[in-house]
Amino acid sequence: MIEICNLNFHYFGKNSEALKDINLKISKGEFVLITGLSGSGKSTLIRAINGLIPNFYGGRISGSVKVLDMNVFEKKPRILAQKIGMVFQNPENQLFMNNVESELVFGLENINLSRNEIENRLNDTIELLGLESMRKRAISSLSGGEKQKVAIGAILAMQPEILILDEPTSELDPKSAEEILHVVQNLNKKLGITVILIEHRIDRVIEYVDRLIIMNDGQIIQDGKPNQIFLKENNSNQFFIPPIIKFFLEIIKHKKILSKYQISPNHIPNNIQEFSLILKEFFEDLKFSEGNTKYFQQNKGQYMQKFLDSTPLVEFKDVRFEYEKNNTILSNINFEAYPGEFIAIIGDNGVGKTTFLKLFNGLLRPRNGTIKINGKNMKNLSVAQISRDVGYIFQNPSIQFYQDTVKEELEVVLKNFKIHSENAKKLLEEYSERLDLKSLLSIYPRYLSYGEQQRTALATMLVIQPKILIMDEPTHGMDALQKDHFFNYLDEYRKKGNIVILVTHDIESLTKYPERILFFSEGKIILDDFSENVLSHPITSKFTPQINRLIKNFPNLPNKIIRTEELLELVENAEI
Amino acid sequence: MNFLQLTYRPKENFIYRSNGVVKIFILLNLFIQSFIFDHPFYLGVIFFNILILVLFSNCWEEILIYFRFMLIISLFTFFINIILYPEGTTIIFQILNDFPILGGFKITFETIVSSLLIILRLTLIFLIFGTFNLIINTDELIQVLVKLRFPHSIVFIITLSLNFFPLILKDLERIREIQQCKGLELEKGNFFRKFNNNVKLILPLLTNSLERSIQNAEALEARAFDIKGKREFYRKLRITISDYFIMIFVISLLIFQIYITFQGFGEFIIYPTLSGIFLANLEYYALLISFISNILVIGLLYLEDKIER
Repeated sequence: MIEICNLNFHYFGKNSEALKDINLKISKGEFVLITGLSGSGKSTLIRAINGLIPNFYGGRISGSVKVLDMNVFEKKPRILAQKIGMVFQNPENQLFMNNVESELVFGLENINLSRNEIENRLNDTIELLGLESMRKRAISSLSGGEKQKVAIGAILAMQPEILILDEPTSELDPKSAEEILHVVQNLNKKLGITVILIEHRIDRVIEYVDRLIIMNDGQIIQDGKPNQIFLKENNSNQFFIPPIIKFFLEIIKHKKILSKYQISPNHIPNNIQEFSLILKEFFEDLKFSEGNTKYFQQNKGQYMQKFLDSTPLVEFKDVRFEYEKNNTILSNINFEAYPGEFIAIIGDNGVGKTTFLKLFNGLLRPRNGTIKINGKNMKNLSVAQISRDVGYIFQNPSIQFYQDTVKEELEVVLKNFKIHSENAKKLLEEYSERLDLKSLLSIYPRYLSYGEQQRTALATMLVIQPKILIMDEPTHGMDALQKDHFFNYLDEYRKKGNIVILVTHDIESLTKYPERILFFSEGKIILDDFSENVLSHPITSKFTPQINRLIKNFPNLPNKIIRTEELLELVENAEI
Repeated sequence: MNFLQLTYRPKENFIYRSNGVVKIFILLNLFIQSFIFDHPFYLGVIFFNILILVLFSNCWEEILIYFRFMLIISLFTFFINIILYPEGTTIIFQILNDFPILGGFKITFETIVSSLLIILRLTLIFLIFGTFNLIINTDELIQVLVKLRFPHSIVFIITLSLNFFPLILKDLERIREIQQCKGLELEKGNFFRKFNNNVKLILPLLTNSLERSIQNAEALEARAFDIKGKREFYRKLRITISDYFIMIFVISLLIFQIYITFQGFGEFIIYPTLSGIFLANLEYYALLISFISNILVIGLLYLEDKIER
């Protein structure tokens, strides 16, 4: 179906090749996951499959790409689009019409189908994706997940044989992401559509895919069934292995366990159900010493004891917020945060998480209640004044840069906050050093890689040395390596007595750093507790990490374990 | 302020439910009226007619935001006009000294009245465009253009700009927030400082829009879009007999208004000396007819909605 031979591609103006000697065959009906670190060439490869390269993006190209016996380089994108559908990362930039129905028929109108045919295909698509209830709704009124569903629908209406999705769930909460992935899985299994998916969060998608391709530096470095790839002892795989598989790979090193429970080391389970079945006897037999209370987490009261002598840096008292009359977004918010805390906020899309964040620095003002930052009531302070204490980093780093160089970005902030030039120079030097930006100071910020942009955004906030750092989905679009580096910076910063508060949907990152998590639902803080307590709570089931989902199938195990390392430690210390 | 409030959001009332073409005709009629009449009484009647339309549309909260914009522009216009156009004979303030280059300075009663009338007319135009933005669904506008056989390239550009207007507003709001977080003072300080700082939002908006346009172009390719290609339109404009009836009524009303202006109704002489403000008896009748007819149009929309439902 897809045949790529010796494909090389070099973007104009870039120093290195984006794709190097790519040879790839994809058969009809396959569900292929392409992953790799940022800048590894994933997006370039899929754009070569649907003809956007070389028809839309110019550059130097060699080799051949054949899709459905068509030479992609010679066909017009308009013709290719009818066979190869592509859904992009940001739904907002791929929807053009005012309401759902007009959006779904837009592509069909473009290929000049008859009105009868358009109507039939429209109805089929609506039925297939269950869009009937939103058929007449305005696009602007849809949530992120709904918009992405419409974007997929608009492509499906054209009845493509191949569906390419470029990180379609990166902006969605786990619930909406799961819905979208189910839709895609049905299309693959029931209609036999070939699916090519790009995704960083492998734990989200691994159970759906037949084949995994890992790219690095413009090349395919791994290609095969996920199980086979994970079994290979290879350093390049370490960032892509989901937690439960990491655990399994450790378990199979114990020959005693394998022989006692007849576990085949070569059969890596794909999902939690399969996993639970294979390891059922082993887990049920696990006995750990009763005196070991390590895995029974404390409650919030115990956690708060360490702040008994501290004054809160953030205080929210009976805060309520509404955009319009009688449309309350947040209510009854009472919250305190102390120096040195690392707090994460979770919840579905549209429950008020971002609204909550924007109250910290006055971007939004509460309708009722008081907010104190660093002891000051912020009621009469402007955003710029509060920002001295509260740094705020938005979701997409690239939209935050407006200067010609990284250095100027930092200088403008220092100038806005009227920091004395000698001191400003010192701070610029210090933070560009600390965040590894020294060699990037003279580069146009939007040309930087995603991780570098996120570091620059972080530096623009840290140079003014705020006490509190607020971030909205900072790991969105980051690969595993970038995430590791980024969280290390944050951890270092909060250890100096500052506070880090972030909203994220990235469940596996949640297990690593934040000690405290707030769970939002319908504009209220429903849970405010230790990470382990929140992530293992029944009402946060959509946010439960893989390891905890596995643990919950076995009542004899401590049900608050959320990390692979903890489970391994438990196994090591248990009697087998 | 939520800029998105200034764009079309469906509401449950008879104005929102009525046919877009009819609404376009009604607003176009009011727009032309606000240009052909000069007399403040006539302009005042148009003002009330628009307010009634806004009231029934239940979008007065959004219109108030337009008013806030208008207030700033009005003040600016008022002073600029007074300074740069000191015509008229009734002098109420004068500095005789000849300043180098600038010469003397005077404020006349006629200039003040003229400036107030300019503001009134500008407000009318602003209100009409505001109401248009709020009550006309862009898809309906597109269907009208398709019906009028506008070339597809033009229709698509209009679609894109109309549908992207809310996104650009969202972008602007986001840039405002980002810049404030970076310490740019947009809330405090004097008018000029705030104005100067607000100008700093424009360049980022352009950069973001350019970046967005590349992503849009890519997504358009994926949807088999071809500006020159032949295409079908799934939804075509449906106009009922009652719609035609209301449109004919609106056109007749407009013809009547144009006719009376040719008869000298609605005239108002400002320069060199202000004419009297009061109208002749017949002119009051014409004014009343205009007022009632415009309200009648709204009544007809209501009646049509009742019948259809």
